[in-house]
Amino acid sequence: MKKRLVAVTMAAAMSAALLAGCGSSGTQTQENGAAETSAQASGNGEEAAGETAASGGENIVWAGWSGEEEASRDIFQRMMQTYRDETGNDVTWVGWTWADTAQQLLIRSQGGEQLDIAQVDIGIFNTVQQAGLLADLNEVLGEDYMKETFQQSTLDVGNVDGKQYGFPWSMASISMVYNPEILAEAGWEEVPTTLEEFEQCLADIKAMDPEIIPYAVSTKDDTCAGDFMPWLWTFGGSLYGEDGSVTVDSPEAVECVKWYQDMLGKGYIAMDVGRGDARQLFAQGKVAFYDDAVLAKGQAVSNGVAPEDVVNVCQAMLRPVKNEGDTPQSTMWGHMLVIFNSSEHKEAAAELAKTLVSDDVALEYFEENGMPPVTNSAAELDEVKNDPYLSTFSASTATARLEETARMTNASEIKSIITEELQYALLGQKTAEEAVAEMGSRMNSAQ
Amino acid sequence: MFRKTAGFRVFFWVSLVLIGAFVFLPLLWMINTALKPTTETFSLSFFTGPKTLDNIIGIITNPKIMTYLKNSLIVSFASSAMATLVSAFAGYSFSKFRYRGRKFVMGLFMMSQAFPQAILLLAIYVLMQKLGLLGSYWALVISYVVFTLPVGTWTLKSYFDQLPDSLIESAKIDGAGHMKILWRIVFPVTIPGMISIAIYGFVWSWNDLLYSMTLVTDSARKTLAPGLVMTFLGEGSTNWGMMMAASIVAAIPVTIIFVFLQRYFIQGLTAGAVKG
Repeated sequence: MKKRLVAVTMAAAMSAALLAGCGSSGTQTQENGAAETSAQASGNGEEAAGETAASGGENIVWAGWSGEEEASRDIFQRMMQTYRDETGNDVTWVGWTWADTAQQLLIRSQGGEQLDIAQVDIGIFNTVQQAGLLADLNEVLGEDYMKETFQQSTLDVGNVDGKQYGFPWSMASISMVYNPEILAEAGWEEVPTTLEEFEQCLADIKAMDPEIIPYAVSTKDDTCAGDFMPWLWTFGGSLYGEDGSVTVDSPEAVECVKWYQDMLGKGYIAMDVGRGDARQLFAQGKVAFYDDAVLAKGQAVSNGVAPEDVVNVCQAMLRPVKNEGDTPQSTMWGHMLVIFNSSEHKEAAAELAKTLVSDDVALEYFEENGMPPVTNSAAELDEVKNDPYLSTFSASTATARLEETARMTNASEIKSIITEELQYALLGQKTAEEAVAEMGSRMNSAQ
Repeated sequence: MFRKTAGFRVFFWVSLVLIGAFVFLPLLWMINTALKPTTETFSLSFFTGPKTLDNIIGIITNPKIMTYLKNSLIVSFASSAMATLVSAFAGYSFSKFRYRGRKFVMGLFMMSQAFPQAILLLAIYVLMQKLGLLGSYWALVISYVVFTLPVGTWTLKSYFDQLPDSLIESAKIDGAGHMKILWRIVFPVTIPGMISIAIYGFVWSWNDLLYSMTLVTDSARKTLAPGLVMTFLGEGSTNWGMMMAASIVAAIPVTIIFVFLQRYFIQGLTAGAVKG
């Protein structure tokens, strides 16, 4: 009897759920405003798009990740509304997490789903470009427009073999940010400019408050390798030579890894800290320095710093150099827009790209989320030109380099190798020499 | 079976503590993080220091999370029910009927388990796109049924193998058709096996991230796993406190189901192995 009761209950619950599942699939209402930021543009591709297009206009699909995130969801809605108002076209947002975007773009493209324009960052641009999915923007928007609108250095990031696949949207470099209040408490009114000064500053901060992580350089996940590269360059090393051969197994790299080990031993850096962790700790006043892009300020606000206070606790600086007169190192960072070859609405997608970099929209994005505008005209706006925080990033952007893995199809694998070997060295499981030699050997095998 | 010597006892308890630590420490840490204020998220305190229910309350009162939870329940119950039913029919067919190609099809069922789910995703994505099911609950339900089917079919086949053919023959002599035999005689005595497959299918659907993130991108139909990841895991930072609180909430339905039905689950999984 008891078994029968359980069976009947289970069958009833499952049947009810099954019927609910069937019934809801096509008629689900968009509840709680959640769907407002992410309307599904699937179904039947072009037909689905056509059905929801604004009267007489086209409906394009824009994909990415920022429109999903709490910090930028609202401004993305406003950007899309501006586009609708200005062009009479409609735009549907499809989003995933930042980490899943490359994979999802490839699946969606190969599945033949409508995909017109997407947000990509420098890290995933290469993956999407090498899949042969992207349109040459010189053909879509015209080479003259591109050259008149953007600096050549930002165009170069999205240029592969003379074809312009990336439309610069927000670009700067990943440099360093610091908390001026902590530095002042430790007796530093000026930021350190050389490694020697930097180490002294870290020592002073540690002595002042042992609870503070003086420098939250990334020691885990993908960002660990990303932070390691500019330090490797600072020490005069590199991952690859000009001919593409692996050159990481060098005295310079050993010196760099030993420097990391020394910093960890003295408690200046910490294990198990990624970029996201550093941002939160920085916002809580528990980190003095860390590496980040220009969005650091916006992240500090998102993580709890009052907007009016952020200028007091978050400032940008150039990475300290080994010897006075050396060039401060930094890596290029940024978001680009790409238009897909398969899109039947390339012109409409190009219009969206133009809307997003228009002065008004770009300025609002900068002021609200700290994303730096890239057009020549926006760079001349007073709000942008007179921002000391942004100008420091601009200074480091002038000499910023693409990550050495940026154009590699197996960038993720190489970064994992670097991270793992660096972690072995930091955990004392390998000497600096062994870690660097193994790094080189594994990178050679991965080529 | 084992002589309970002092050495054995030490080995037993050390092993138990070690395995227990691996299993339970992450769970305890999850609860610990969920109860910390945001400013303490990265502190190493373990159930010491300031506590708050803000994260838990924030999750329970977040309508978006509740929508994801509802979607997960719909998809998981539906896929679990379908997978159990189809597995039962398939398992019964393999067990009690003899026809050409039977063993080949059984092999195919088993072989389908060998492919990584990520590889199958592209094919399933295209299939769903062609059928116009992308973005619907159906896309997820059908995918989950596909992944539950091989294990379900083989498990239930071994269950049906234990049923004496004479029982079915007797029913036939009494004039019962195949469907009647199934519903009145076979299914009632295989309930533990069917419940174990239902739970297996439910948990599989509940925990999936890859398929639910890919096949459904509309927030209104998103399930819990991608919903949580997309809400709390950003390019810039991760809200670990809320993420952990949401994970606790997400674990509650599965835990309740398992607690109430674990007797059948264990019975179902072991019955085929020991009978006969």
